[in-house]
Amino acid sequence: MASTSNSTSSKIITLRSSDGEVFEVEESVALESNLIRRMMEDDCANNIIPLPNVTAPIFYLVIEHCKKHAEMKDNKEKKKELRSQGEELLKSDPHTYSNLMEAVNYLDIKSLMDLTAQWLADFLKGKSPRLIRELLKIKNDFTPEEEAEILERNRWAFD
Amino acid sequence: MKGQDLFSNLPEGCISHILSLTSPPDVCRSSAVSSIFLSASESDIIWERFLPSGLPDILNRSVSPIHFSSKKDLFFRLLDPILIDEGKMSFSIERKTGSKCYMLSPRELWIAWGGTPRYWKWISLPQSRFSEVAELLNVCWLEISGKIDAHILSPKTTYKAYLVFKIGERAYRLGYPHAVASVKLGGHESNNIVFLQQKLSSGADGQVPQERSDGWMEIEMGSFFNDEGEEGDVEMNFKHVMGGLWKRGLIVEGIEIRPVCN
Repeated sequence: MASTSNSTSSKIITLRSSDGEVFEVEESVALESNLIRRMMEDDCANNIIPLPNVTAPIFYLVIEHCKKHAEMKDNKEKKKELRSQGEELLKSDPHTYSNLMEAVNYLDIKSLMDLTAQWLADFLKGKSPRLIRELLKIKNDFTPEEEAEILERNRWAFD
Repeated sequence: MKGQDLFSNLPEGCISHILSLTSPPDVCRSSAVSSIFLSASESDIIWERFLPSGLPDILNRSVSPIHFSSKKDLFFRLLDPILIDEGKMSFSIERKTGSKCYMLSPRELWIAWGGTPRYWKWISLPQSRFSEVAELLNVCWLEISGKIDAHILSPKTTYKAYLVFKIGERAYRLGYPHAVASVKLGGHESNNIVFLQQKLSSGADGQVPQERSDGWMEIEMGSFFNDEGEEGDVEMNFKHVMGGLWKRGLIVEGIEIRPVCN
């Protein structure tokens, strides 16, 4: 059993990832997720809350970033540091980024949604479609004619 | 790695939200990545964010009604200037940032002797966006000024002001000697030595006219940084009086205030 909290004073929520790992998380951290909040309001709080769309490694990442985000409140330096980490993750492991983004979207965590969205937005800035596809392993699903037409229409943006 | 494409499990609204955090050229470039990016790039969420604030009021002041099918459509429509305030000004947006641009028509400017038919003539030209432009017949004191409330410009933006003009066929003594232009906002003043025509000889350095895509010429008058728009009017002045020489043939389209793009 993985514990992400040393505190005994606040309430602990138990969650289970899709691959069966059980997490104990402080209520204050868990409630960052609007999905978990809604589930608790529906009175699932005494049971283990299942998260069928999130694997353990990704859930670790989510918790880690929730904590970082809570720490960086009003700290400009840390905010900058956290924002700059996106570029690295997107370049080295776009797959994990994509899973993280999906998990954050599924768990409905506003603060992390803003952060991970900003990561990708910063990453997209100034890059060509070809480079974006290559780095993020996205398949080009246009026909050559469609692609040519889109490029022609947006030619000004490539100057 | 899964066989499935990355991001294919994300809702389109999520991609749109991400794109809204970039810039208009980034969105247009990203639309060529894949079909999910293409359809996400059309979203009103994105283009609403790029359109400048206070737009409904500006559209209400438009001389002719502006029809649009989406925020993106509106954005691209406003890249071409629209006439507002009974045609005394034009409004457009800058495509890389969505910042506001204006041009003051010559009727909205103060022109020394502009009301005296012997010195200045008001004519209409097919190449002009405005119904009337001012043609210089003969003066020795050539001075033009205009002002615009910084409040109606985009905040946190560096702007430059340009005198927009043509050199008429009967032009005489416009290029020599130099003229002086200034742009003032709050405590900040920017001054430029300017030449209405290419310099004939070496001497003072200064701004020379540049050709615009609309066929007119322009000369940079000066720049200013608009912080929150709370410093009152931007005052722009062009003065060509040195030597007391008589001049003629300048055709004034207006003064344009537009953001500096890096």
